[in-house]
Amino acid sequence: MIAEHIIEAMLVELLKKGAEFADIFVEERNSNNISMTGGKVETALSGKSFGVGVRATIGVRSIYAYTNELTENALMAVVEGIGDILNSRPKRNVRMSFEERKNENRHLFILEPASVNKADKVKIMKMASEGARNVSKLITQVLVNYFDYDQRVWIYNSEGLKTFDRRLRTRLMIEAVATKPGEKETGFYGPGAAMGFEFYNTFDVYEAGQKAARIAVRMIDAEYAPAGKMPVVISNGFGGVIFHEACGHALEATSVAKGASVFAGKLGQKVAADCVSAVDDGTIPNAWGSANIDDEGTPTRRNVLIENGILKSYLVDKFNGRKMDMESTGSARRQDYRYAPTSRMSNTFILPGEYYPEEIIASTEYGLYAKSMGGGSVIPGTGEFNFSVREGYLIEKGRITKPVRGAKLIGKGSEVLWKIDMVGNDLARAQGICGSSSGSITADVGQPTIRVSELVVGGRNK
Amino acid sequence: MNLKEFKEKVFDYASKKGLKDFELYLEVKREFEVSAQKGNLENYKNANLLGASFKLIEQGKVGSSFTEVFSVEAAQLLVDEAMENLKIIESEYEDFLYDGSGNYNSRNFYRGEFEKLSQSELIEKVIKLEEGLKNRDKHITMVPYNNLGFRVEEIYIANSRGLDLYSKNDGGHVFAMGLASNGENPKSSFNALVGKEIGDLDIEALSDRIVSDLKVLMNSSPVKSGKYNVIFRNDAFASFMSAFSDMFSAENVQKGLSLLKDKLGERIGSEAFTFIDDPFFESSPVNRYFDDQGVPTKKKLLVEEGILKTYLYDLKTAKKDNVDSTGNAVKLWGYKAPTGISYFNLIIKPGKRSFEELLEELWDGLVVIELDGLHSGANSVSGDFSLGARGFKVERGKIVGGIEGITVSGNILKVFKNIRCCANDTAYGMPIMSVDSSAVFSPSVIVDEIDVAGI
Repeated sequence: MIAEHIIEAMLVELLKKGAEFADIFVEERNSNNISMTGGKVETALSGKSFGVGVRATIGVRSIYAYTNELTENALMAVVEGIGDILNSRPKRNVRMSFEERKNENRHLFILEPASVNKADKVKIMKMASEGARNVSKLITQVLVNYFDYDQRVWIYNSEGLKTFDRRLRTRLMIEAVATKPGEKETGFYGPGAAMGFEFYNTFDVYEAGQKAARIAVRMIDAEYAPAGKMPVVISNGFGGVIFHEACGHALEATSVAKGASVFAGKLGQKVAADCVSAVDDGTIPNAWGSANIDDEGTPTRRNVLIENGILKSYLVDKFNGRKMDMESTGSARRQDYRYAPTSRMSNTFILPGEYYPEEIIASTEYGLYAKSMGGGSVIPGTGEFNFSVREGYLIEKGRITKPVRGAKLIGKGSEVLWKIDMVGNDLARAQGICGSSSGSITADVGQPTIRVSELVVGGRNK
Repeated sequence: MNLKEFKEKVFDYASKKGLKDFELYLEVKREFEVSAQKGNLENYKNANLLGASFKLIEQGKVGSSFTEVFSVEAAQLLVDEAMENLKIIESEYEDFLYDGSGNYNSRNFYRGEFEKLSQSELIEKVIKLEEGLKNRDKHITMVPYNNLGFRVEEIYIANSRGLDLYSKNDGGHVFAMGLASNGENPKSSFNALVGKEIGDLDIEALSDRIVSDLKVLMNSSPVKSGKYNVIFRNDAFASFMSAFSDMFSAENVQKGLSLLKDKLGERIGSEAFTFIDDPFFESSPVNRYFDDQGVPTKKKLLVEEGILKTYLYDLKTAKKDNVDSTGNAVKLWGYKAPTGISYFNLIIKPGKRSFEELLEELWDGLVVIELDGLHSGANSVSGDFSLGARGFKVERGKIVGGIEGITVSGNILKVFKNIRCCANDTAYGMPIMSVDSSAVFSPSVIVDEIDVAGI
């Protein structure tokens, strides 16, 4: 740890140099990563990261530096460097003292990853690998990745805040490969949580392996998806990646504050169909994207983003909040001390509606059923998004008829929200890694089954 | 504690534990980045990172660990953790340490030109980029993303077999995205450049291209679904090809994760397709004379006029195939991670014609200038891709308008075969992974019969 008097001296010096606001993020992280190929452990890696991120803001400028050289001299040199860039009139008589805010831990854990034998972690991986392998003879390879980390953060700022959080994350990622002569297809399943090793008592690991393999097996026999515009029914859980890409990123203050979002200036306005309500909730106990506080030290909360089609809130961090004259929504996040924090999603999902998923499919004459989704991306400035369908089926006359592969769905965020015309009652969340300007972070996406009346499906032409 | 002392502590402790084969990898990195918004400095980042990783080998099996803390206790923990990790390894691969006996094409890749610039010079430059780009055309509403920066990287590897290597390298980048609008529907265009000196980062050229792209894109519409002959513009094709580079990894071939298995010496592409990995490529910020296992690097042809010449090897995969390592062991996720297999600078050999001559050659079709969703829509195991795209419509050899709201789909093996010809306009493209340890360069190419979904 770094002595508190050094942290204090750093913040005081930054204020003296003219910073309007400054904060310091101290992070210690122990992580474990084990990879398995074909049922055998291939690599095992563990270690400790420790570093400090220092930020000063003035007007519209954010100045960030990080180091993992933790001597007083090195840290004060970082502060000096920032002072040069602030280039502001020095202030005198700066004083500050810290008042510690203790946060209640809503994300209880039982088995600390460090206390668990590595051999037990390997057992879990083998179980998943076998589950996948035994699904079919077509499965020719199974990759399993296990990781956990234990992150401790101390956050101090020039307003006198001192606070601490500890975050545990555990995840299993299974990729299965099905092969036919000259052809390969993959299936993936990757459950994770903000829990310790007890996470593996909450679901059937063997079944998780089967899930990944079944996708690969179904897809190797599938035809290519048709190309063109059509209705698309998107399944629950990871299907929520559509909201994450089409809307979530464009609601982040990072884009909104500078007007680089299609949703800038639209608070209180209708931006989606009546049936669409969505939230971002960083408080859900033990959820993959949860934390007690965000990476600026603000307690996380449940933010209603869209209610019955009306835009209710953005995702706001302190720095962009000042530009927008808005309070932080507890949404500042970063990958680690090497990134300045900015507004990001936590657990983001569309709220359930009234339809049974079967009803939604039955009322669709022709279209695509996107059962399992890969990742996607978006350009917030234009709202153009895309995401991949890992497991898709054709809907013909209200019935699922045959598997199709290789589909990409594209559209514009501002348009697609209007085209959601049915929302199911089967809300589920799924885990992902979201990459953006403050690095790669854990994030849940989620939704019930929904229907979009028209999307461009990137498939093949007959 | 300085690094030398730390190394000695680690080596002493490892020897005391009776270990024979071990290796320490140290990375010292400086990163500097600035961006501008509305004529002001927006973001500034200045960073120093020091990391160490440790590798232990016993009977061909490897245990790994890393640390960012450099104390006596940390040195011991590093060794202890690697020993713990080694216990669970079951890999069939037989790994070993390199003794440093090869022929090193050792060069100084550090020019120090970026570090000579003052912070204010770099800040001024990025502000000029942002303002200049915005003022160049009345339709440009903003430059939401822009960034200018450089990186200085030192790598030091030492092992118990006598290997002792050091390399220092530097390089910079600049990128910008412009948004333009006629009214309702904003359009975007992105461009990035890399180089060894600030003079290589031609901000005028970068801005020119963004502006001329936006002018065309402002009159965009989708096209009808169907098969089209397509020019993939240089940087788009470079990024696209990086998404499939894993196919050339010997490890993926050996594990049954590559469509190129059993294809050495066979034709996998058209005669216009030559694919090179060059760790010494001069216009790249990535330059290495030894890989992350300490093996000498070299320039090599992966595909020569359509014929698959070699896979990329590290020590263990080379041993399995009974060949020499090609010097392609790379720590893809930074100093922490164990080495994987990767290229350094992936280059598609250019042709003789200009981009305009390529348009003539295409006559009717599309130009794809940007691809969206490469990290999820391109699968290097199956070779399938389906990606969002934007670009231009070409009629009778001329660009006649913009295209948006389309996807391009297909399989990479068919793309290799359908490359008709390459232009002479080689440019940098962002690799989809590990931007720090690898780069991709490609000319614009014509690929026939690409599946397009539109209206």
